[in-house]
Amino acid sequence: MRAARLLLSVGFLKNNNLTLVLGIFLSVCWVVIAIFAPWIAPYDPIAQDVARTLQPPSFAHPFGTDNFGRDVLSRVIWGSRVDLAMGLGGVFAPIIIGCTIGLLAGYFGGIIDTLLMRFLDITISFPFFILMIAIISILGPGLMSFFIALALVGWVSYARLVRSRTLVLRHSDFVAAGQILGFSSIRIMFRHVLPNAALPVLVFIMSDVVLTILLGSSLSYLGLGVQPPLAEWGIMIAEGQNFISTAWWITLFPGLAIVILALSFSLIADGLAAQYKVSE
Amino acid sequence: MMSKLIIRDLTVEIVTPFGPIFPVEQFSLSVEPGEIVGLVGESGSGKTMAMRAVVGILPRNAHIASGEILLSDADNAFVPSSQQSHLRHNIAMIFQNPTSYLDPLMSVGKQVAEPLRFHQGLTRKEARTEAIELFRKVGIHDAERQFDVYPHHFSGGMKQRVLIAAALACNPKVLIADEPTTALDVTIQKQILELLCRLRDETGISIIFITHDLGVVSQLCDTVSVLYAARIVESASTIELLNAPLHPYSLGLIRSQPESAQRDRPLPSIPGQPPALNAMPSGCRFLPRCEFAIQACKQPSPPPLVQTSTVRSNACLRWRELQTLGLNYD
Amino acid sequence: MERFKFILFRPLQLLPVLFGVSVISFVMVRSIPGDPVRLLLGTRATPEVAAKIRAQYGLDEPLMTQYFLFLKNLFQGDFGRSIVYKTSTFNVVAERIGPTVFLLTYVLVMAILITLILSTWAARRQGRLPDVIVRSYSMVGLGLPTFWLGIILIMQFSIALNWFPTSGYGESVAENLYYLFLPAVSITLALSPVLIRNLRASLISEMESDYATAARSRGMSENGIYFSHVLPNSLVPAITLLGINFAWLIGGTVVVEQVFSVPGIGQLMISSIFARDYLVVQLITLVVAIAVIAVNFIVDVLTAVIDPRVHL
Repeated sequence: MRAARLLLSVGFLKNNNLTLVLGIFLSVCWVVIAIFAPWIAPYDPIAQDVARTLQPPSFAHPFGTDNFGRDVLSRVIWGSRVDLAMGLGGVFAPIIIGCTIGLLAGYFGGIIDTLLMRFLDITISFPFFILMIAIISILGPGLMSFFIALALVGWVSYARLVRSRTLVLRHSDFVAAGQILGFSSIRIMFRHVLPNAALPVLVFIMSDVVLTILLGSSLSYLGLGVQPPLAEWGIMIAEGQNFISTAWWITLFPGLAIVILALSFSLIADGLAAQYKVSE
Repeated sequence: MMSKLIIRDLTVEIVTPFGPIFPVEQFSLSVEPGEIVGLVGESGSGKTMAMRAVVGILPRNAHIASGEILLSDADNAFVPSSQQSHLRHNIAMIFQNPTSYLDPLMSVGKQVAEPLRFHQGLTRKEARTEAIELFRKVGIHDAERQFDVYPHHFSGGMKQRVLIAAALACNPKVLIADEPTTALDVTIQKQILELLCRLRDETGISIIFITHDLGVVSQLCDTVSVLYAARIVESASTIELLNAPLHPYSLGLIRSQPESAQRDRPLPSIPGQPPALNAMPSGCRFLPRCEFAIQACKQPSPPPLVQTSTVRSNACLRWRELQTLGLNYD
Repeated sequence: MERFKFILFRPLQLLPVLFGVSVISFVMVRSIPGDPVRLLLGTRATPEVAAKIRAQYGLDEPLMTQYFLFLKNLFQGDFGRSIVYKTSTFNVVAERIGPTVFLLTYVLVMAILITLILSTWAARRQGRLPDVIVRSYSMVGLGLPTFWLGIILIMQFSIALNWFPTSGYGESVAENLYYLFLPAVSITLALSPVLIRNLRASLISEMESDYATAARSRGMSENGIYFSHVLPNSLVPAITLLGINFAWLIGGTVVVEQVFSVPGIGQLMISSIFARDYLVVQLITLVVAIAVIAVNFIVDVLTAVIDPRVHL
């Protein structure tokens, strides 16, 4: 019921919100591309063709071929699966962990809050990136390590955001009403406080997806993320760097893909923020 | 050096996607040197917008569509408003909520010294001395030490005094006060009003005082203009207006003041709401709420402001009848 | 002056954080699966050296004892030995910290300048072409991967036009500036969108504030109002944001050092990870964490300097 109402209200107020519409449209395009990659991509992304290495963009290969003769366009299309998975999947654990911690800290306050926030202070003192690669160095590179490392490190912003919203909402009337009615704290927290804190969190999630995609592709570029021969944009850029003077297309197109995918979610974030006048 | 201020047919326009709206229409006012003029009306009646237009601080989407703002100079010639910056520091303004009108990052003294340095080119030391003097003038004790204090350490009344001092730093001929005491305690209110009176007596400065409180008007103002729905509906000396108003809206306002209420009877109020700026009716804008309305009031354009004597004007078609009826409060 | 007292007290508040940081660094390395001796010494370890290491690090002792030994070693300046470079990790890191610090400073200066200039330009011409350009850049720029930017810049300015070198650090300071120009630009282009978006919004909001209106009513010029009131009030959230992004900045530096082969601790970190030189990794993590804490402290001090409402 509430979901349906939310969708309807989005349709209503969307009038001037080109940003949001464009963002949603582009993101949906990417998801479609990712899902239907096997049917959209003209070639097999890992099929090598030594006779056709390092060919510039042409009609047969709109994005050219790389040093193994693989079609760059197909690899970019298939790569959308990995990068989208990294972005959308990567934020999953941080959201759950962060929101829970934020809710607990903000709702109960007192010693729980102090302890959790000390823990948060310590975690954010470590620069995100360094901690990520340190954890990955222990676990070994790969998509799973990426997700685990993110879960351990990436929850902080969500915790802070949810906590500050909860602190404000904790004193609101409907919480007091719930307490008087004898609802358990957990019920109040998850069914009443959280939905009201939802919107700024949603805006932040969109920006976080962008950051996660950039993070994932950076790590893959360094060799600490997804491993070759998997088609992933960061890896493609790394491989292309060696041929930058002779075959610029290997590096350019995956990078453009990252920029456009990131732009899609940034537009959604901005559009949502403008729509509901969310302040951070 | 006294100056007379004349505002003639000032109209302010705001362009919106749904068409233009006019928060101020054909606003006319004259202020003699040393006079205190009251500007009365509900929220949204246009009093603040009109004064912001005079000082030149309209919001980004608003502009003066027509009208003149004139200030007499030493030779009694009138300087047109086209010379905006010249006018700007001859007319200064103080505002309703003193807290937000002071820069929290700068000491109060510096904020008063700023216009001194900008307009008169004083050095930092000279401006400091001058500012401290202004502090004393507006009744801030221990002025020397208070110069370096930051706004968040001051009470509301003190902050308003600082703003008055900053306004005086421009050496203005006219001071516009936009509900300066509405956000303050009653006791502080009294002090600020006394301060303004004293400034007028000592320096001959004219004051335009915006308020919705007729009690303040009766204490402070020599003349008063009443605004309704972006237009002036009546203008008179304070005594005449409060004793014998000639416009139904003025009458309604006077009646609804708590001071004039009678015991054991409900407090009268004017029924209804003022019209929205983007939905102005044709004809008299007070018509829906007026107990004296007649058929003629429905004419296509609002009744014009008519000069009924040298110092009075009003915009009611039935003013003569109302005069003979002898309006009073019952 | 009394509000600056907190400068003395804040480091005390940071002690628990430093403590926590040391615990995490310790736990990290001890979590690596495998024989710790082999991890610390590499595969070619003689039994005598292995025994010595076991004693020194207390590898057979309970974890708590190991942690205190770890702290004791830290305070004595012993951070362990690098397997790859065969010298103390401290030396290895100290040698390479210069280029990284240089690059970080370079980027900060560049980013601050670019942000100030573009935000001012856009805010004071709101709604017109400069504003549109700057807003578009800050929108698209959010998605620019630093490493990709670096490579594109190399392609264009190093290889095609031959204006800049493709890698390295150089000898003199002038050479450093030259070699690190493209690396600094790559990071700046990726960092500034977020800063510009924030500063531009602050500037616009402050320009419409009540105190700016009050100053205007006194006949102050727009320029005067901008530099005396609008800019200082906008700087506080901007500085805080810059502090928050310092952590990101370090990440960007690590990546850029790889792209441009800059011999800094970022490149060292990556190579140490692949070489399994874990003690080097540990030290770099510790050093960077301390740097972040220090930067946050500086941000707090700066905020207190600008904003008189701030106290402990």
